[in-house]
Amino acid sequence: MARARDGDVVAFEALVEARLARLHRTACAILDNESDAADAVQDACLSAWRELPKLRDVEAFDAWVSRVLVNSCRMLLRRRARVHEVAIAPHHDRPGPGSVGPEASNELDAIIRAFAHLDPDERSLLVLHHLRHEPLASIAAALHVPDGTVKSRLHAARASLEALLTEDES
Amino acid sequence: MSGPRHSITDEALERALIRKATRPLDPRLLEVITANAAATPQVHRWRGPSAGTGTAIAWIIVAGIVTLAGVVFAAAGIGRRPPDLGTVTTPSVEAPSVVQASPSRQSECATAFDVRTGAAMSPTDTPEVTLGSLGAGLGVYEVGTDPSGVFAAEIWRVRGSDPTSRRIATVSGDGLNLATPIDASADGSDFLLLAGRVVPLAEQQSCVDLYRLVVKEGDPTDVERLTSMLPGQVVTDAAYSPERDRIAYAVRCGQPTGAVLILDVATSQTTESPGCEGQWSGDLEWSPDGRRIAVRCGQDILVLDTSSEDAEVRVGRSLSVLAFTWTDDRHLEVASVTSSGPGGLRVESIDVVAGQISDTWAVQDEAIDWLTTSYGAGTFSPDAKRIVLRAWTTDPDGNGSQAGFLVDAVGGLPTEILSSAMGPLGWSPDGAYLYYEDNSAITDDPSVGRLTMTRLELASGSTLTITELPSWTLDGVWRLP
Repeated sequence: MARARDGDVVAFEALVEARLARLHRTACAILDNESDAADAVQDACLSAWRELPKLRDVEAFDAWVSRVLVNSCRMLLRRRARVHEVAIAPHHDRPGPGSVGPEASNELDAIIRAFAHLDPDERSLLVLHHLRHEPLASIAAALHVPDGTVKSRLHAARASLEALLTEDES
Repeated sequence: MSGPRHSITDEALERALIRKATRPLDPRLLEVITANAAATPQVHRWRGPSAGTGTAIAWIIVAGIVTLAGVVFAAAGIGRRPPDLGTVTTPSVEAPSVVQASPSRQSECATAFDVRTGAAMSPTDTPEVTLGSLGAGLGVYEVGTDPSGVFAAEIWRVRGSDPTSRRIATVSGDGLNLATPIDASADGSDFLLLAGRVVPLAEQQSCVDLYRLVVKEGDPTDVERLTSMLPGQVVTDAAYSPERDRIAYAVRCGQPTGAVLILDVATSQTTESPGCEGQWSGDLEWSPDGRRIAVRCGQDILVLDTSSEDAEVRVGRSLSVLAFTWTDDRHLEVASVTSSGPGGLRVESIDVVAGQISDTWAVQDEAIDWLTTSYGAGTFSPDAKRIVLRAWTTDPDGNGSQAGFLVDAVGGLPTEILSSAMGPLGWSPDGAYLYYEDNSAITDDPSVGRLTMTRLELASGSTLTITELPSWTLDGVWRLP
């Protein structure tokens, strides 16, 4: 860590390598495709490289990188939300790209589908809590909200997901 | 909504998230992160330059009145790697023969791959000729890498009404293997240039930036570096807006993702438009009113409305886009390959505001085995009513060859107009002529080659060899034939 803080790229590479798989999994869970996930991980790691000399508590490195990653994911999702897909009439010889969605094969698929409709903050909350099992205080720090707000938003995110699933079933 | 509310257990939610999170990790990711950190410790954006900072670097060329023997670039600000564009000279040499204008934007990379798509092309020991993007009556082309790997790109200007073509600059530099003019003002005083290094199958080592070359009285007087790409980032196309107050450029990053950025010429502010994430970004074209930009993103066409940051339209297609062009401010003519089977070509007019296809037409022709979708394989005529494309055909003995076809974009079967091997095809401004390079003129000696540019008159079918391009040698010294 000390060498990386001093600008040693090889040391930084070792730091990243040990955490890369976990960071990638988190990004994949929040985002919808691997390309975005790779993008977010790169952004987070480069931010870490830039800011590493300023990090006073080296023990906080993992939580800090996670926080940066979650914010990168949220930014990506918000930017993507600004793109409006316009449905084009399907070709007579080939189905259009968005004509039919995959049928739900099981509950997990249905959850994943519903998850894609959540907003960036709701996704991040659920991933940090249910996948990474982060403490509420850590989630609060990552999302820049009070601890109590995390609880209420977790409840709301869960309710949103369940509502989406109910709507999907109906 | 009816029925009981669906409840999710913690276990089910965790399992679903684990399933969602379990994706293969690209082994190149660590390498890219490390390379970016090592190369640009003070710059952290993965994509192109951010607003207000990306164009902070100005590269200044110190030029002589007649000949620019040396170029000094001065970098201001952040510690990027030194520029690749090292030398710009202006030989006072006139081309020996006539080259007419070719208005198409065709820009295949001079080396053995397609810089637009990243697709590897057939390896070749011979350089290729690139037809640059052209304004009215103006053409620019580039002659590329010599076989030894020493790079020198000659940029020539040609005019439809002018019996001479003129070499306006030779661009070379350490590490450079690409220098392609891609957009030019009608008067030839200002054009955009892509220059950098592209390494096939090693995206993270590629880096191509956008430069602006100002030409006065036939001589370049200034080169400005407009972007500062990181290793792994390649500017694939750029174009001035119709009012020439903005420059839109597409960036392809090392991972399969891209971005479209718009540079305000007056303020040097850069804004990034959303929508191309997760896909390659390629060629782009402004609508005639300068409000929208159509850009190739993967196999889709993305239409960006620059008047509203929330108004992006993805013209989602399940097809491979061959070519596209604006016919008016809201209609985009798109030619796509519909199948990998015999001759599937579809032409559509898409209303990008309503998201509707107003006209569509398709052709299946057994004469065309398959349509290559590499950049420059298809080009609309200036009036968007015809398409010229390169495709593969098979003779009765099963031998495949490349041929040029002319297709009426509003109906009709393709007509084979060229049967020889050829490079990119370009239209004359009036649509009466096609221009192409004739690869068959390559000599047997791989160290010395010569290409010809040919003009085809569509009405009569007659061809005219209008120029022989300069030959080249292993030492990279250019000489006229």
